[in-house]
Amino acid sequence: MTGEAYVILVINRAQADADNLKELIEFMDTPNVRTALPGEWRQTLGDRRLEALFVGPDLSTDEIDTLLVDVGEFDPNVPIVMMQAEGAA
Amino acid sequence: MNQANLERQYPWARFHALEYPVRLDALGEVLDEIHAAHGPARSELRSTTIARLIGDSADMQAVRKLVRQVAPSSATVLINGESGTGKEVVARQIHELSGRKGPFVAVNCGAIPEHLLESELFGHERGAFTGAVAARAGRFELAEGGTFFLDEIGDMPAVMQVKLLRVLEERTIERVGGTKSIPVDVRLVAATHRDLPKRIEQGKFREDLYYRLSVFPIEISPLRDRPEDVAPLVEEFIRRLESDQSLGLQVSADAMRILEDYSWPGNVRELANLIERLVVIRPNGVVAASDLPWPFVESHASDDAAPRVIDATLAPTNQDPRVPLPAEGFDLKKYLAKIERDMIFNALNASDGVVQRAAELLGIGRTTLVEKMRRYELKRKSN
Repeated sequence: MTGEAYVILVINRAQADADNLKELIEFMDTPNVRTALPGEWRQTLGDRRLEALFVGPDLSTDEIDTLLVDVGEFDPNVPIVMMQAEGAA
Repeated sequence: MNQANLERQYPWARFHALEYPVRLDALGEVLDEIHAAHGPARSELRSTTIARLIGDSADMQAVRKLVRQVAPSSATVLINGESGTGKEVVARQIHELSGRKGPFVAVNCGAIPEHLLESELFGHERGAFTGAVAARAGRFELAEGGTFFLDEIGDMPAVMQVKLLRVLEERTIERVGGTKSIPVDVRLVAATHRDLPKRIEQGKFREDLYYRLSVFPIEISPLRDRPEDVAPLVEEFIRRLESDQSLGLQVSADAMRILEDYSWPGNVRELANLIERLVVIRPNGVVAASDLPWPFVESHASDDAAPRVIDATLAPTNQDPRVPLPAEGFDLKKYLAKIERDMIFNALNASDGVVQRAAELLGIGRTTLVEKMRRYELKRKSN
């Protein structure tokens, strides 16, 4: 991907954890990572295309439901990475 | 909410799971799958810069000859080669020389979850499953009149192998939830890094599909078996970067010798990545042997006095722990860097790839560790 046409979004309530994950994703040679709160991802995305969505472990079930419905309407082909706290599976 | 519930509730979604705190190797695998699943979009972006088969080795000359022979026909092609050898480049060149007017569409069979692969390949009708709010054409239909490249065919689930075989025999597809047979005019090129005859023996790949696919097999040898191709590839990658970024880069004879002797586990893709990194280090200069990052220098370390000293002193010993200084002297920076890299590697292994834990073991901050890992190119637990 060139420029910022595609963006990976990290959705998490705790900003420090979101920044930590953003840093690790960028470290894996994947630039263009943004963080956002659950209700603000569309504004953060702007007119860029969504390459993937990382859903943090601290979102409530309702927040996840709302987010997934919105993403499905926006682009059902977007890969969604569900983060789970260790041992919570 | 667990993964199984999510998949039931949102069957259209392409879910991946990742534990937090994140292990770098697990994150790398997920990112690889995400990138691979974006195959067509990425292929389109790259289409203006690739599709030249570089190298003068006998192996590459043979591949070029096979490509020229098979391209004008409609024969199905099976490309076999290690990861990073350029299987998609070969597939794309077959398409470009085929004269077919339709598009080149690629999909990575190993990167798309099994339950989504069918609708990805064949499309679906509206209402075929929850979330299928509109009908959608699959990749086969998108490739109409062109070439459909099925990468990592060896990883295709058994149930999909049956459906693909039927498409190859009947040249029609059926969308998920549909009843209509749709004829498709598509030239199929498949590729894998796996030993398919062995997969057949193991019961993981259908023999009838294998024979359908391997009408015209092309084998791409690993880069380590054709070191004479390294220099032309280096020149080509530099040329591409120069035209993209107006940069100049030269590789010294010493550095080139090291590159030619290197084993290239990541093949041509690893070489391309190295050149991109070198452009950052020496944007307009000459790359010396000492500019090469760790694995390359390491592979030549046996020629130097310093690494022998390092290995000896890192081994458990009851003797004088002080490092003997070789009479001819040695490179202290390289020595210390080697120790630091080894310790980081051990800490990452001990922490199962969790960066935060590795940082605690080493008594340094996470950000500092990430920076050092970047410097030493320690990305995965297996590196």
